[in-house]
Amino acid sequence: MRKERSLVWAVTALLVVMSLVLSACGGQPTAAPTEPSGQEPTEAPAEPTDVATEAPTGEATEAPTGAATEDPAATGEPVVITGENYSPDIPEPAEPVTVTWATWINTESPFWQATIAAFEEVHPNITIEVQSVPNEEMFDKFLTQIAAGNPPDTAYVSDWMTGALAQNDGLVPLDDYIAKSNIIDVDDYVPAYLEPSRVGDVQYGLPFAGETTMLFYRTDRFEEVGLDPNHPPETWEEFREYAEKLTDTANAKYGFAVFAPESAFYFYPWLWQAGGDQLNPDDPNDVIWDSPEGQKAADFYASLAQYSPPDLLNATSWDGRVPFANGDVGMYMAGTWFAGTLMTEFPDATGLWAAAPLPQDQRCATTIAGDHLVIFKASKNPDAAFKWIEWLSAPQNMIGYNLGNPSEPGTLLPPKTSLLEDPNLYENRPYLQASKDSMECAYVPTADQPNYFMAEEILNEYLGQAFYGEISGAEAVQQAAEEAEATLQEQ
Amino acid sequence: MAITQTEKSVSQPVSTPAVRRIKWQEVIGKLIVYILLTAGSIIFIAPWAWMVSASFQPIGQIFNWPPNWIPETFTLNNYRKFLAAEGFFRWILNSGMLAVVVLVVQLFFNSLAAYTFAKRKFPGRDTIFLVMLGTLMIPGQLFLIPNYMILLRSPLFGGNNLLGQGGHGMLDSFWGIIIPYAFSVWSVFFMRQYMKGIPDDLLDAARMDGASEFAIYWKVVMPLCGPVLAAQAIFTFTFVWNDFFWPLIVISDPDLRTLQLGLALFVIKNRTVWDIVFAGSVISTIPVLLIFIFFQKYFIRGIALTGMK
Amino acid sequence: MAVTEITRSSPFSARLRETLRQMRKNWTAYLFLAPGIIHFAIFTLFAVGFAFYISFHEWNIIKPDKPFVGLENYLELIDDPRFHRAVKNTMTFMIGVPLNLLAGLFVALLLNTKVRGQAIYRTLFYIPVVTPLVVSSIIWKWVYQGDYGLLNYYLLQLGIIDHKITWLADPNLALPALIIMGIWGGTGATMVIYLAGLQSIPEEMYDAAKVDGASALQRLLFITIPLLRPTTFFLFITAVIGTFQIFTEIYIMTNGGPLNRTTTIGYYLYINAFRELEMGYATAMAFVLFAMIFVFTVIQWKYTRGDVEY
Repeated sequence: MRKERSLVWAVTALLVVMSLVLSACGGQPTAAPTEPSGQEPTEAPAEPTDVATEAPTGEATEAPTGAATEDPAATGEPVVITGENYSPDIPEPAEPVTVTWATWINTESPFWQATIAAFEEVHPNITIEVQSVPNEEMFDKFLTQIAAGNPPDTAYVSDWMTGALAQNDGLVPLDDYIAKSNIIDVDDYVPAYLEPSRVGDVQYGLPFAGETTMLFYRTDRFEEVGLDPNHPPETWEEFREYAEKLTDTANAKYGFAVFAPESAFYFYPWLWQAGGDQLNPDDPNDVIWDSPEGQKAADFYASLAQYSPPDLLNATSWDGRVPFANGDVGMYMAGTWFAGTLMTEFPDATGLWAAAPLPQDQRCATTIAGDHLVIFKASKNPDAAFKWIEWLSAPQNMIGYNLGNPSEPGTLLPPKTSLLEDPNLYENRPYLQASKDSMECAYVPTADQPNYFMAEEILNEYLGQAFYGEISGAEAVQQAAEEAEATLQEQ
Repeated sequence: MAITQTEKSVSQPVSTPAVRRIKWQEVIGKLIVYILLTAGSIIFIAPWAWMVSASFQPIGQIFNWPPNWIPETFTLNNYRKFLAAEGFFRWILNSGMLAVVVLVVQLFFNSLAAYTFAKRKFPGRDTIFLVMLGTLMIPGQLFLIPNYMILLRSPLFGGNNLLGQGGHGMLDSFWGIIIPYAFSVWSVFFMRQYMKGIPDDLLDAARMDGASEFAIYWKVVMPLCGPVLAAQAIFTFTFVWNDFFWPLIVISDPDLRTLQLGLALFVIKNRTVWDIVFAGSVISTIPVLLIFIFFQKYFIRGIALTGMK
Repeated sequence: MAVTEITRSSPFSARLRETLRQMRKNWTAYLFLAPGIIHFAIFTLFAVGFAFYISFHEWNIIKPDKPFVGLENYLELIDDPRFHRAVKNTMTFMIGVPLNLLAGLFVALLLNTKVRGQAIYRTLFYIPVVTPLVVSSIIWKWVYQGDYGLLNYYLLQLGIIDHKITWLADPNLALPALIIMGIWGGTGATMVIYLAGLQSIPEEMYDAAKVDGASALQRLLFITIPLLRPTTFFLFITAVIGTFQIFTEIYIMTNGGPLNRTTTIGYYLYINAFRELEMGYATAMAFVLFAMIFVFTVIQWKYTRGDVEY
């Protein structure tokens, strides 16, 4: 007994000492592992905190969700990045400063190492410190840091985060900085991508990478039912026709997939295509998805549930990837990220699917998602921080990032009109051609409503009920509009 | 020491028909038990077993639907890739060290408090205990921001001055994990319930013998607490080893990454490197299971608590 | 001459003096508790106090403006239909608590007898506790799937159902499906706690009972279960608390749906705090929740006294 106890003490003491030593020592920075790539549209999942409570119920760890990034690791060749001081009108820091940059990108790749090194060479007083955070938990971590007063200086964030941060006055306005920059031309950006980080007339973020929502379809299933794989549906009527042909419930084959938890997000393209919109641009508290166009779109949208696997009704567009990859679902609406998922997880399905812009009705329209570079309000070095995000926005860096690498092609495009013409971007990634074409139809509502997410939640609920057949699509948008307006007025 | 081991005296039964029938019943009873246990085990380990199987499958097959229970193509590549990840050994070391340190610290402080609540009588005992119990009912998410603030502004840690300004406090260091986890009301509650079952007579006898309170705690009570300490050890280790979110918030330095944080680098919603994640997850469950196997041997009947007869 | 001194002292000061005397006498108790209390004060009480303070404000984490709003958050909760629904859903989840306890007790009893391979079985039953949630959810989603799911397959074979059921997409079946998954996940830990508790029951009790002719069932009902009362009390309370706070599993499996039928208070609270940035509202919700659980626990405590004396 005695011996065991002193052994326990000895081991404990040893471990305590070790922990002190380990935490004191610096050591070599470890490289992040292989190339995670891809990225993430809008839906924001959740994460629990297990700070002080333990309970013997339920399972252990947590959800693995997050957004991914491009990794343009060159295949062995040394990457050379050049650049210069793009904003001589903004003063350089007089003393050495550190700019922290939070991101989920793997910055150990040769491209990123070269970019950071080149920047630090041009700006000798600025050191870049990368804070690696998975996209899933990023927002929670930011909130915690902001509440305590120590957020990073800058970050690379997805657009919904940018919107939330900007609308709540957590970011530094960039218009003055942009005016002083030689390399940032606001007019060169694809307009839709600027919207998420705009509040009123003020720009709070620089778009860095983007994607659109497209139509993915199984070329093999098309051929099976006699449809032309080179002619995806271009109108609503064609779409319905195709969905019907592809649906054979007796054999568990379906034409399309709808998701109640994401019903609002995937409704918007149909809504806009019919000529409708979410909010009245002149009165942000006026919800107008119950307009005649909106009702028509809602009825059409709700009717698509009959072509969809009943299992997926309560799933997300990520869960639904499996039936599509297995050929059980013929058409699928998702962002460009879907291509990446298919290539990574279902390489056997390569060559059996293709991507195309969404069909149109009164006009063409699609949702976009993008990532932005932002500066946090609490930053103590906003000038230096801006120089860093300005550097990243330079063409050589934007292209370099979005290119990905041959073994793991990326799924994003630089949201700048001048860069979109670069043929290198489309070489190994044919689906990106469809994405570029979609960009022309990209639509982002301009009404400024910081509490829109509340309205969206309501719409989500009612559309879900419509999918389940409890109410019609038109009823759903009408009731949702009524309730949403009431909620928004209260704020 | 007032503990004695009693042994049941076993007498040889005579083989009468009555006895033979009882034996038969025993055999059938045992058979049923085994069947239940085996069936139950299969259901219980199924997901984990699939994970192990998937860790040996190439990425293109992992998500076959319905899932493969036996790999079509067996490969060690996933493990190779995981072990090639730079820093993985450090991650495991960090996780292990944190889990063990927190475990030891918690066992000591929690049991001390639990014993005091269970066996000592003093003014305010029940009130303090109820207050502590009450805080268990507050959802964990509320503690995130305040505790983060406390870590950030801890005086004299991480470059902070006496007022807690200037540096990063206990953030970005192992203190930020060890100190908040040094004490757990849940464990105190658990141990207290167990200790309530220790006969008071034992303690009174020791007191009459002149033992100090600490000696009673250390020499009389603790040895009787093998089972609950073992259970606590299992839970604390499991919890700290699998803990993801709090270390994520606290730690930014890549050197300090735990295994869960390291695995998270591969987990990206739409482009997760599943093959590596599965291999890494399997590796991650091994130490926890080893701890369980080691400590569960303390759940043995045979150490009887005899009081003063 | 015997003079008896009569000290004029009120009952209050007498009690106070007695209390102080007790405190001095038991100073070691306070010493032992000191580290725990200090830690508790810093890492728990502060947070609770802070949260309480916030609950009277409109507290958006990012916006600098955090106005005082008095009881508005609390009053809003009373009218919030989503909160009511979350409470209703959470209450339904409570059904899983006694089931979880029963399952854990059953397995613990089985594995406390001399069964060969005891250690191995115990480990196997503990494995769900350490299986990563993402893995469990994939397999369970497959079990519950409509077209290819395992459950449907067997139920169809056995003739219990006549058509495929989409468990997780059905508003009425999703919650029970999650409860079953929860029992699967929690039994291992419950088993461990009961195993520990079982060791504290003295062997002689069983011997004496056997001598008196008690059957195995009688021993179970009249010795084991009563003597496990402290453990059961603990498990019950923590399971109730856990159920009120459960949320990742819900999120992963059903997104709180279908049609919000599996949205629990824990999930709703998280969304309010970290997505809608309504920290004030979320903390108010937490305290309402706390009040509910606390009242419930105090009743339990008084009723069972939670303790067993020999």
